[in-house]
This record gives sequence, C-alpha cells and structure tokens, in this order.
Amino acid sequence: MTTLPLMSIIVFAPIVGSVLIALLGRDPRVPRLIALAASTVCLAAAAYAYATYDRVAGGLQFVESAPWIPSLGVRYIVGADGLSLPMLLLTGMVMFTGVLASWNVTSRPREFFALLLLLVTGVFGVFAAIDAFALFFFYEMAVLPMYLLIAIWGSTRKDYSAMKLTLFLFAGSAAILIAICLVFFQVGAGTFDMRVWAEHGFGADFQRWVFLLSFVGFGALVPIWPLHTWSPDGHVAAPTAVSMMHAGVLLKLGAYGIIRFGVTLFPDGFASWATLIAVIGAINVLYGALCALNQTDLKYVIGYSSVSHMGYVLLGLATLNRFGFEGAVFQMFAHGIMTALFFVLVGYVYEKAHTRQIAEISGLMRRTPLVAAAFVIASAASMGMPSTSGFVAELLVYIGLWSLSPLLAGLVFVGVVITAGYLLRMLTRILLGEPSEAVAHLSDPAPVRLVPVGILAITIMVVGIFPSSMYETIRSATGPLLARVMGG
Amino acid sequence: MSVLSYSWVLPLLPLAVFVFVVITGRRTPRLLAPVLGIGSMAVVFAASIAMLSLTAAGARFNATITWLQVGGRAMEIGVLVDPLAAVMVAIVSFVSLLVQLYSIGYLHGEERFRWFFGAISLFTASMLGVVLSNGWLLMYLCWEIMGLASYLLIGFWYHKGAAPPAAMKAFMVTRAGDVGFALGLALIWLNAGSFLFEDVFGMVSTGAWSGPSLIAAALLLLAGAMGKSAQFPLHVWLPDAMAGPTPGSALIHAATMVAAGVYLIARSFPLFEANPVTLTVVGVIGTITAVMGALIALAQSDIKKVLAYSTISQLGYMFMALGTGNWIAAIFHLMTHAFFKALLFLGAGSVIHALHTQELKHFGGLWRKMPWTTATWCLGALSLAGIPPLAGFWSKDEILLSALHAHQYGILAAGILTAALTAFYMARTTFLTFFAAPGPESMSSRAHESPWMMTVPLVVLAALAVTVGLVGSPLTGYSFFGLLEAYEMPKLNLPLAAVAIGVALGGIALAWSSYIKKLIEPDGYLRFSFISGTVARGFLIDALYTNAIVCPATYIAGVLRVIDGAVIDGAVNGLGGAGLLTGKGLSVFDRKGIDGVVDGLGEGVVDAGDGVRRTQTGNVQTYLLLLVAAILLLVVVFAR
Repeated sequence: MTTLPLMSIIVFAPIVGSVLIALLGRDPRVPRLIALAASTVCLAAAAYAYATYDRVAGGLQFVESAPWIPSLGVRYIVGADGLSLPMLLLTGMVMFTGVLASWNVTSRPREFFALLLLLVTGVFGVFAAIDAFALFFFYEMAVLPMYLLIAIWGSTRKDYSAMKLTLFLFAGSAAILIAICLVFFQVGAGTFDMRVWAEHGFGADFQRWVFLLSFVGFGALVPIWPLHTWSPDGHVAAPTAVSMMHAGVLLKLGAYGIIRFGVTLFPDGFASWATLIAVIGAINVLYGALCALNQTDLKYVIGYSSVSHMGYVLLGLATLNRFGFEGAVFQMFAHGIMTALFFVLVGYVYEKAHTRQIAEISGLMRRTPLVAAAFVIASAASMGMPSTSGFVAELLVYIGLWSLSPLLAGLVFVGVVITAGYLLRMLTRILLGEPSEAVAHLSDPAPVRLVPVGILAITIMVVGIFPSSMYETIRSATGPLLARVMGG
Repeated sequence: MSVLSYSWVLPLLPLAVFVFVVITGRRTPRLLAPVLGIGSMAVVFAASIAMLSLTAAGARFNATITWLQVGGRAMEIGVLVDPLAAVMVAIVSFVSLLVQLYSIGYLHGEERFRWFFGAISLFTASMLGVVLSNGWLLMYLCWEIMGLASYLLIGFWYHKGAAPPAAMKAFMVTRAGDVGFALGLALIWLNAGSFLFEDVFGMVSTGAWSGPSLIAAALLLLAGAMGKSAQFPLHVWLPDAMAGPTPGSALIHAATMVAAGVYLIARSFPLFEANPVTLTVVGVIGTITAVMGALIALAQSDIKKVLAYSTISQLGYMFMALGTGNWIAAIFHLMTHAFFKALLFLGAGSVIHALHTQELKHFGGLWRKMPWTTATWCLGALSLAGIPPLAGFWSKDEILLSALHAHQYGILAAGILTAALTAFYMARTTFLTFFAAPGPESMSSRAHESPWMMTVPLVVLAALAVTVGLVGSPLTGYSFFGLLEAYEMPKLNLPLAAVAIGVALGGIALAWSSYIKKLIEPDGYLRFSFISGTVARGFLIDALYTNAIVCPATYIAGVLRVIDGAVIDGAVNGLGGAGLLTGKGLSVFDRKGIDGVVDGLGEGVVDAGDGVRRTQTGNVQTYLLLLVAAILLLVVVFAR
C-alpha cells in the first residue's frame, strides 16, 4: 500500500490553494493558475487512488486517522472504498474542468476561485470522511461557499435562488445533525467513527425512524421530490463552474450520504422504506422529465433533467438487488459527468450569445460544430444510448427493476420516452435550423475551452464502452452493502 | 480460421470514412468524400461476395469478447457470419454504393456535400454492425447509432422548415420503440444470463427459459422492430422523413434501415416461434400495416409520399411473412424490395432533380424527356406490382404461399388485397408521372435526363429488380432458401399465382383505363371526403397522436411547471414569509413591549446592531475572511 497520504492531499490541496490565492492573488491571472494547479493535484491523486485501489480486497483503503477533538471523541478519519472512489474521481474531474471553464471569469477572480476551492474541499471531505462528525463538518463547508458563489457571480434571480438553496440545505443538515447526535448517544461508545457505529446493532424502530430522518436530510440534496425546487433554480442562477459542481457533484453528496450513512448504518430501516423510496424515485423520474419538457431556458431543462436522472439512483437502491445497487452508483458517476458537460456547453453558449432561451438559439450545428457534437454526446448519455456511460447505468437499473416490479419498469419506460422528448426538442431547436441572430457571430471555442469539453465527452464514451474498471470498483462496495441489507 | 475472421473490420471502414470527413471538414477535397465512401463500400461488397460463397459452402464465423463481467456472468459482444449476415451485408453495401454514386450527381451543388457522404457512411457502418452482431447487446448499440444517422440525414436540409421537426419526429417515434428494445435486453439478461443469440436460443429450445417472461421479451423486441420498420402504430415518422434528401431516403427509409426491424425479428426468430401468440401479434400488426399503407398510398399527391406509404405497406408484408412463421420469405422480400424500392426512390429523385417539385400534378408525359428514368422506373414499378417474372412477383408469391400453408387465411386475403391496391397505386403514379398527357400545372417541358452518375445506378438496380427474384424461384430450385436454411419450401401453387397475377393486372388495367384512356374519371375516388380528408391524411393517426399524447403531455408539463412554481415553491415561500412575519411580530412586540420597559437597554441593542451591520459590508473579501476565520476558530477551540 502506498505511503502517500492520498486522501489528505485530495482534501487539503484545494484549501491550500485557497490560502495561496488569498496571499498571492493580486494579479488577476494568478488565481486561476493556482486553482488549476490545486485541481490538477486533486485529480491526479484521485486518479492514482482509483487506479491503485485493490478491487479484489475491497473495503476501506488509504485510511488515515488522527485525533481532532478528543474531548468529544471526534477524530479526523478519511479513507476510500468502491463507493467513494468514483465520487472522488468525479469531483476531481468536474473541478478540473470547472476551473478551465471559468478561465475567463473577470469579475473578482480572486474571491471566485478561493471560494470555489473551499467548496471543493468540503465536497472531497464528505466523500473521504469516515468519521460522522467530520462528514457533517465538510458537508456544511460545501454548502456555505455555494451561497456566496451564486449570490455574487450568478444570474437570473440569483439572490432568491441562493437563499432558497441555502435554506433547503440547512433544513436538511438540521435533520442530519439530529440523526448524527441520536446515533452518537445510542451507540454510547464516545466515538463518531462510522466503522464502529456500523458494528452496533440498532433496534428495529430506531433504524426505521433514524433512517427516515437521514433520508429526508440527505434527500433534500438529491433532491427528492417534493424537496427539489431549490435545485433547478440553483442550477440556473449559478455561474458555469458552480452549476457544474452543483449538478455534477453536490447532488451526489445527498445520494452518497443516504448510502454511506443511512443504508450502511440502518440496513433494516432502509429495507423497510424501500417501497417509499421506489415511489419517490419514480415520481422524480416522471415529474422531472415532464417539467423539463416545458422549459424555455436551457439551464432549466438540464436542471429538471437532473431531478429526473437522480430518480434512477433512488429506484436502483429501492430494488434491493445487486443490479439496482450497482446501477444506482454507476448512475451517480454517469450523471455527474454528463451534467457537467451540459453546463460547460450551456455556459459557453450563454457567455457568447448572452441568452439561454431555447427560442432564441438555433443553428449551432452550423456555427459551432464541435459544441454541437458535444451536445449530442451529452444528450446521448442522458437518453441512455449505448456506448455512453448513461447506458451502462440505465441497463443495470432496468435489470434491477424487472426483478422488482414490471409495473415500475413500465413507468420508467414512459419516463425514458419523455426524456428523449425533452432532449430532442432542445437539440432540434438549438442545433438544426439556420443560425439565429444571437448565435450568428459564434464560432467554436478556443482550445483551452475545448479541453474540458473533450475530457468530459471522452470520459462519457470511454466509461460507456469500457465500463469494467468502474463497474468492478463500484461492485466492491455495493456487494458487501447489499449483503448487510439482505443479511439483516 | 478463414478470412471470415476479419469480418469485424467491415463496419469500421465506413466508420473511418465518417470520422475522416467530420475531422477534416471543408479541408477535404470535395470529391474525396464520395470517393472514400464508395471505395469503402466496394471493399465491403467484394468481401460480402466472399462471405456468401464461403458460408454457402458451410463456413461460419462466431467470435465473442467480454464487455462487462456482471455477477459471474459475462455480458458479451461479438461477430457472427452466417448466410443471413452475408446476404444482408451484400444488400446493404451494394445499395449504399449505388446510392452514393447517384448522390454525386444529385447533390452536386450542395454546400454540405461532404457531410452527406459522412452521414451515409455512419449509417452504413451502423447497419453493417447490426447485421454482423452475434447478440442483442451489440446490435442495440449499432441500432441506436443508426437512429442518430437517420436523424442527421433527415435534418440534412435544416433550413427547410419541414426537415428539423421531421428529424425529431423520426428519432422520437423510433426511440419509443427502442426503449422497448432496451427493456427487452434487460429482461433477456435477467432470464437467460446472456445476450448472445446461440446461448439464448439454446435455453429457449431446451425449455430452460419459457413462460410469460419470454413472451414479454419477444414483444419488447417487437416494439423496437416496429419503430425502426415503421409498423402501425409507430409508422407515422416515415412519411415525414421524406423531408430528407431523396438518395438518403432511398438507402435509409426504403431499402435498409427500415428493414432492420424485419431482420431483428428474423434473427430472433426462435424467441418468437416459442410462443404462437407472439407470432400472431407480429402477423396482425403486419396485416394492418400492409393494408393501411396501401390505402393511404392511393390518395397521395406527392411522389415521395406515395413511395413512403408504399414502403410502410411492403414492410407490413414482410411482417405478415414473419407472422406466418416463414422468416426466410420475409428476408427474401426484404432483398427484392431493397432493390426495386431503392430503384423507385432514385427514379423519383431523378424526376425531382429535373423539375424541383414532388407533386404529381406537376408531372406528365415525362417519358419523352427522360427515357432512362422512365424505362427503369417502369421495371421497378412492375416488380413492386408483382408481375412475373420480375423479382417482386417471386417474393410476394412466397409470402402468400406461406399464409396459405399456415392456414392464415386472414393474412392471405389481406395479402391479395394489398397486391391489388399496390398494382393500382403504382400504375397511377407511373401514368401520372411519365405517360399521361401533361395537365395544366405540368412543368414537364423543363425536364431533362439526369447525368450518368444518376442513370447508371438506375440501370443496375433495374437489372436486379428484374432478375434477383429468380434465386427464390423454382427456376433455380429455390437456391436462396437453401442457402439460408435447409427449409422445406412451399412449392409454386399455380392457382394462387394466377390469382395474384390476376389482381395485379386488374389494378394496372383499372389505372390504365382511368389515367390514360380517361374512361373513368382520374382520381375520381378522391371526391369522397372520407378518402381525401381522412385516408389521405393517414387515417388522421398523426392528429390522434397530437391530441392524445403530445398535447396532454405538454399540458401536464405546463401544469407541473405551475405546480412547481406556485404550489411547492409557494409553500416554501409561504413558510419563509410566515417566518418573516413572526419575526417582525416579535420584533414589534420587542420594541413596543419590552423595549418600553428596558428603554435604556434598547439603546445598547441599537448600537450593537450598528456594529453588526458594519460587518455586513457586502464585501466578499470580508465574508471570506470571516468564513475562514470562523472555521479556523472552530478547529482551534475544539482541538485543544
């Protein structure tokens, strides 16, 4: 095993970058270079951890542990398993590409990049944390900068959206905090180490209700219906890199929390709510898709499509079988990459055409063929077309759903058809036709702007065509997890 | 093994052409794109001849690689070369080759000339992938790429108002069927644990997999096939798809892609055969589609629309053959249809190229100006009408024979009726275009014969439309059927053949007496408002979908949007507002009640408030500083 403190490097590189920006960032071009350096370090470390993770052995690896608040029994414990590694890799990629996509931020670049790095530290921290207190701490750290990033650099009702997002997420974290405290006192071992908590046999009622509490708390972030309305507003208001982080990664924090905290600690409680989760998942899929069908703003289409796609994660979990579990986690990764790509593209179009209204954009295929091609790839992934990562996830979820309930499979069928509907409506309007006035002067972006597009688009295809390594990683975590759920 | 082991390379050749054209764009010399496209097709066609002769001698090739290991079972993809695959590769590559040659002439002034050949190559690559797959997983992959290529080609003339919506509709409707395919994939995997034909067929034949899930899987595959092959009720996209360039329509929406559904069922036949009920469903759908398509074709005034509905009808014919249990007859008709329908589309394209219109009323008497187009078209039309010894007669006859032998008299009657209608509408179109005296709106005086790049493919296809049926006739001992499977073919039944020929000749004669001799009023039946209003508009199925599916979905989406904004957000905002009000009320209470008592303290509170306000400077740097300071403070305080 490696001796490098990989997890700590991933978690703290951004905050070091943030401090460096505060110290050195007088020149407006320096912050972005520091941010790029920090994200390169994170991405490289995450990729290295992903590549060297022992998939056969499975379990938590790269564990680091140090006392933090001894009086409370809080320790700084980080590590990674097959569930967190795809998420760390995803965060690294979205961060790296997000920094490149923000290359031209001219308004207060110093604060922008510093906050962005702070946000990323929080996200990495959640995915790496094994101590529940640390998990909560990092979770809050991810939410706060989000408010400022949207309120200052956002557009379209940014104050309202930023406040709404913050309130929803704080309401969710209140529920999580209560759940953490309840567990802490129930276990009574004076530790927040979730590995210890997992060994504790919680009573059936305790499991049932504390799982629900954590499901609602983390679910606000997924977002589960009907706690979803902050999410599309937040996507729309946020600047490009923040939309990417938000849809690509932040929503996964919620699903990750449900799995890492809720499902792992309370497997029986989780199983007892499976029907509810399946129903909410199906509502998410259908409701989100239908809402996306009628939007006029590109970002709202993608925002509601996220609500819809996160429904597959819930559905996959609710199947209580291996295919569904694997598909759910695979979908978390696949959706993160495809949405990040969508937001890079929409961000570019908005920056140049100064509009995101579908009615005002047409003929991108003629003006910006590469952007158009990337739109097609992202949409293909979103539709679950084969050779994209979205297909692998959806195929696994389908297989899981068949063995659960043909009725649900039928409902999902409707959802997938509607998905094709809103995506094709969007693609046909903005790609085909003669170039509209707003895009008349557009051309394909400069190479530095194409790098993030290329990275994300290629990732979609590579993971879709060669899904084995991602799948094996995920399976090493979902296998034992499912055994816990079914064993109880 | 033999050279067959290299067959996986074949789809990659046109794919490479596509990638090359996309990457080089306008830097490619203009003619290089078609040269590469045609060159790759020539190689594939030559290979397919080798494949045919090798597989006819009994050689097979089947190789598999693992795509993903799921739970101890491998999801596998691979290549299968057998006579069926070889026949399909030959048809696809040959038609694609001729269509591309033709397109050089047809699209000569087109700005996006290279892109067209790129898209055609992408399409051909995916179609070759479909027919060479040895399992449903890889087939589905290629199947979806094919849908994308079709979208690109229909939308080729995106500046024409009709093209973008038509492209979208085609993708959307076929996608609805394809989701069925995808769900079917999941069901196959769950029950059989493999995506490979041989594994799954083995389980079906031994009875290891049977029951409702097998029926469901077959019907889901059927949904995919119905979408691509434009079967009722998913046929609505095909007529609109005629907005694409005519050579593209010839290849994709007449000869090959629309036949992929027929191929899918033929390839998956053991799944369908296992339960008679699924075959019955296939037969019923085919019957409805065949009769419906032929009826609508009667009432069309646009030459491409006639051919589009004719294609729907003929695809229904192939589904009828599948429904009778004779998949080889379906493939035989697929082959003859590919040649004579491609010929008819390219012939129509030749006329459209000359006159820049598609309306039948603008034609008339073209045979003087366009002799090659007229002669080849007539051979294609006679072949479609089922006149012996042309190809269409033999393949149509096999389908009717299968129906007779399977005692499917409904299908038999529908087949004969369709044959009569087909002969009539093809004769009508032929007479109105080429032979009838030009009408008042005719533009025929401007016509000219097309260049050789366009007429050579017509002549080659006409030769095939005449002769290719012989391989399935008693004259060659039904060699086609022997190639695909040692199959006990129903032998030529002279009374049945006589009936089929009789109705075909009857249809032609009726059209002749009406459109040439004017004994009956031409198009007199269009006076019935039911025919001109309902039948001509495709039995209003489009309107039905708009009103029953599209509008409600849009409406629900609108309602949900309102719910999201007004109800859910309203609740959230209301809660926030209520909190704010409570806060205000408390503050009023504070000021009026408590403040009155502790007036002196109040001063202090105001001062403190000012102090706090000073920190709310709106300056991000200050916020940021405070944020970091707070975090550091937390860490330091607790970490003692």
